[in-house]
Parts: sequence; C-alpha cells; structure tokens
Amino acid sequence: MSNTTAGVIFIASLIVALALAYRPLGDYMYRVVSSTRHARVERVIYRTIGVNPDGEQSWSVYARSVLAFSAVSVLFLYLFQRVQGHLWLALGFKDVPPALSWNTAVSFVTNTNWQAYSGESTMGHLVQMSGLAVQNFVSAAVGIAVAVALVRGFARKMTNQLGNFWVDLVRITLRVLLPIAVIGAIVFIAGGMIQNLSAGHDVTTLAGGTQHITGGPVASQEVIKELGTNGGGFYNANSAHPFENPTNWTNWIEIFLLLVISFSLPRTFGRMVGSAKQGYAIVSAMAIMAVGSIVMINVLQGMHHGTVPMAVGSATEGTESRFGVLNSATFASATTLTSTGAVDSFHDSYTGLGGGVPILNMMLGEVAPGGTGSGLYGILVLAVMTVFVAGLMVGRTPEYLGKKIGAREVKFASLYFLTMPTFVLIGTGVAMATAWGKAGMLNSGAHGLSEVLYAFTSATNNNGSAFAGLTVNTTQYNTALGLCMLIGRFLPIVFVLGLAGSLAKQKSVPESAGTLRTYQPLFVGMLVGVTLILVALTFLPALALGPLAEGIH
Amino acid sequence: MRRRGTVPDFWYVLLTVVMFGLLALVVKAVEKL
Repeated sequence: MSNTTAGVIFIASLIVALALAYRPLGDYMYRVVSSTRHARVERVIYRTIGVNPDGEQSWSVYARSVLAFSAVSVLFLYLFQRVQGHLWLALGFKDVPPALSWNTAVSFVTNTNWQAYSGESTMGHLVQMSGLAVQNFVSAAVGIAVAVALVRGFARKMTNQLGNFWVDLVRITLRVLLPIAVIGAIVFIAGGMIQNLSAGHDVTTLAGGTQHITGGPVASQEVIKELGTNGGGFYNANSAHPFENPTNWTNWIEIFLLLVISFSLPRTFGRMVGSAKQGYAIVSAMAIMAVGSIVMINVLQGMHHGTVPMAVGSATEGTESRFGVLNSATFASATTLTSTGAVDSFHDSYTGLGGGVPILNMMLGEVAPGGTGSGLYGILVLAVMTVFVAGLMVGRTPEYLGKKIGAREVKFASLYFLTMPTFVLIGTGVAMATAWGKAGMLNSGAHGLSEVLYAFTSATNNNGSAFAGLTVNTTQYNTALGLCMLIGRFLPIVFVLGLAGSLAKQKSVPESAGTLRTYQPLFVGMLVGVTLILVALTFLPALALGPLAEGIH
Repeated sequence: MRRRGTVPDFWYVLLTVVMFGLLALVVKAVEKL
C-alpha cells in the first residue's frame, strides 16, 4: 500500500469513527447536563464544598464561580510546583523556578498546556499526577460547562438562570471525562504505553554509553491530555515519544480522542435547543473547515517543497518515522484545529506553507471543532455574527434559535471576537520590538517571525503547541505568554456568559416566513464564509510576513 | 535570611490576584453594558 493510500484511509477511518460517535456521545452528554438527579458521590462533593446543587445561578454568578475556581487553581498549582522538591515522588527534582511555575500553572488551568519545560527533567510524578493531570480534567470540564451555559441561554426564555457551575463542573468531570479516560488509559497500556511510579532505569546502550530510561504514570495522563484537548506531554517530545505514543494505532486513537468530544457537542447543543438539525448545521460547518485544513496540510507536506524534501522524496524532517509524513500532518492539523497542542512531529520543520496551516487553524479561533466546550461556544458566537450579517443584507432584525440578535448581543459577540487577535498581534509586536523578544529567536527573517507569531497565537488561543525554534523559558516570555493565556481564556468566557445571560432573558420569537433557516446548507456556507473572512481580514498581513513569505520564496 | 525566590513568589501571587480581580471587574462592567 502506498503512503498516500494509507494516509487517505487513516483520515477516512477517523471521519467514520467520529460520525459514529456523534449521536451516542452527544446524547449522553445531553443527559448528563440535563439530569435533575445527583449521584451519591456528587452529593458528598457538594456538601464538602458547601454548594446547594439544586440552586441555579445568574450569568454573573456563574462567571464569578468560573473565575474563583480558576484563580484558586492557579495559586494552588503554582505553590505545588514551588515546593515540589520537598514532596513525595519528586525524583530528586528541585522546586520549579517562579516564572516557569506561574507560566505552567496558568497554562494548565486555562486548558492551554503550553510547556516551557521538559516534563521528564523538571516535574516529579506527584506534581504530574495531582497537579497537572487534575487540571487536565477540570479545565476541560470548565470549557464544556461554559458552552452548556451558553446553550441554556438559547434554550431558555425569560429567566436569568443559567444552571449551576459547580454541578456542571462535577458532573462533566465524573460522568463524562473520567469514565472515558479510564477506558482509554487501559487501551493505551495495552498498546505499550507505560504506567508506573518508577524513577526510571539506567541502561547501557549498544555504543557503551549510559542512558536514563524514565518511568511514570504516562497512560493515565496521556488519555486526558487528548480527550480534554489539553496537550501537555509527559515527555518533552510529547506524542512523538514511544512511551507516549507507541504505535500507529495509538496515534490514530490519540487523534480520535482529541476530536471526539468537540465534534459530539453540537449534538448536545441540538438536543438542548430542541432541534437536532441545528446541531447538524454546526457540526457540518466545523467538519467542512476541518477536512479542508487536513487536506491542505497533507497536500502541502506531500508536495516535496524545498531542496532537501525533493532529494529524499518527502518532507521528513522533524517527523517520527513510525507515523510517516502524512499521518504526522493529520495529527498537526487535528491538534491545532482543537485547542489540544499535543504534537507527534515538529511543526517548525514543516514546509513553509505547511507550517502556516497550524497557525491558520489556531487563528480560526479554534472552532473546527475547537477545544472541549470552547469550540462550541466559539462557533456559536460566530453563528450570532453570521445571522447579524445576514440580517443586515436583507434588512430584517436578525434572529437565531428564536432569539433576537440586537445591539447588546452583537456587542458581546464583537468583544469576544476582538479579544484573541488583539492579544496575539500586540504580543507578537511587543516581542519583535524588544531585546528579550528577539533574543529568544533561533531563526531570523520570515521563519523567525513565524516562530514568535506561532507562540503568541498558541498561547492566546489556549492551544499550547509550540513551533519550536524559540527559547521561551525566560522570565519575560513566561510572563508575557502566561498573561496571553489568562486573558485569552477568561475574557472571552466573560463575554460568552454575558451573551448567554442576555439571550436567556428574552422571550422566544416564533419562526416566520422571513426567518433565516439556520439549519440549512445556505447558513452552513455563510457561517464558514464569515469565519474565514473575519480571520483573513484580521491576520493576513501577519501571515504574509511569516509563513506565506517563507513558503512562496 | 530571605529564601531565594520569595520576592518573585510575591509578585506572581500578586499578579494572579490582580488579573482575576480585573476579570471580576469586567464581569461587573459587562452587567451594565
């Protein structure tokens, strides 16, 4: 079988598997977030943290709960790393330095999982298991909870109640993420992934040298790394490491896991708003952009662009030979279409234009299908913008799902959309204008700009993947990227919840002959068009100076 | 003698508190939008 055929089968089988999971997983998540019954263990948790699970919250209380939980999480994770050297299972590692601790704490709490460190030489097992892995679960659950609150805003009428953040957080963690993670970890262990508390072994290599083979609870962390679209690797090589991704079929499962929740949430949305067709419209828009991106990166990586790829027959630099060029390209696209950021190859080594695709994916705002929850609320905000644009074209008051999209709603959608580009472009500009910013660059010219642009795009979009070729473990980069992660996560969440509160207060408008049918192909096409045009208008100059300049050169 | 890292610790804890405090103020401002 040729590499191209294998690559096509790899992608086609993923699409079929995701399509098969869409209804059962989406329906299951709908039941989880809509149920009025609490499990015994959940009641114990509510009693412990002093929450009345039957009480609902307004949007502002919901938002303050998200912020309070996240603030405490950042401070706890920061402290945990700062005292690591005194803890059990530290493996002899010292306390993590302040700037790196803060960057890492913010990174994992915001579901970014940007890593300015090598896991196997910086973090002990206890911090990995009880600090970082726990945030992998709860940060993903926070994203889904916010998406569910927004959907309640569409589904409910004349109320200021959007649900209870603490109930959503606990249920999504215990009933959705944890069971899938347990099963997934067992499958990964069967595939050869390691799961132990060993400090590692020193072995003699064939050349006579000594090599330290590290151990650790990798499988349990790996599964939620993908499922929760987190991306923080146990090892520096991330999913290119044989202990973190042993075979080609574990590579397939990793891609499936990082896409499955985000692609199934539109079903949950459709059930909650009482129209499965609305869910199909949203997932169709996501799928069109995702398939387009995956085809584009596979073609660009397979075109043998450049002298060395032409000589060896393929753009193999930076790719893991176990997975090949095309399957690595599919992983790169999937990880940046979601907010995962895990890598099984090095994006810095991609062809000029091929390396531009992951950047473009993140600049879409990660809505195809995006992070767990953040992808759904991101594309719903874009849907609001789309009906607003459509309303302007035909001169009617825009409506979406029976709710009028007025000035207040458009303000929230605009503020949401403007946050990410503002911090990506200002962050990149500041880094390029300062000595500390340029000092970290290992390449000059267009490629050097791409590295800095990638870092700020990844941080602000809470992706977490790195282009590489940039020295970021400095006080300035750790702090600047940490601020971008924090603002890029929580400021849009505040606007999304504000939008949800505004929608929930409205009464429902009955569908009329003039209502835009938001479940039809025309709307799907418009949604994709609005998304691409907004991104192109915002980022084309920066892309032209970076990956486009390098690729066309 | 002050332990190494104490001063940066203070600033990073303060930065965290200030950032989340500002976000809470944004919630308040958005309520009036």
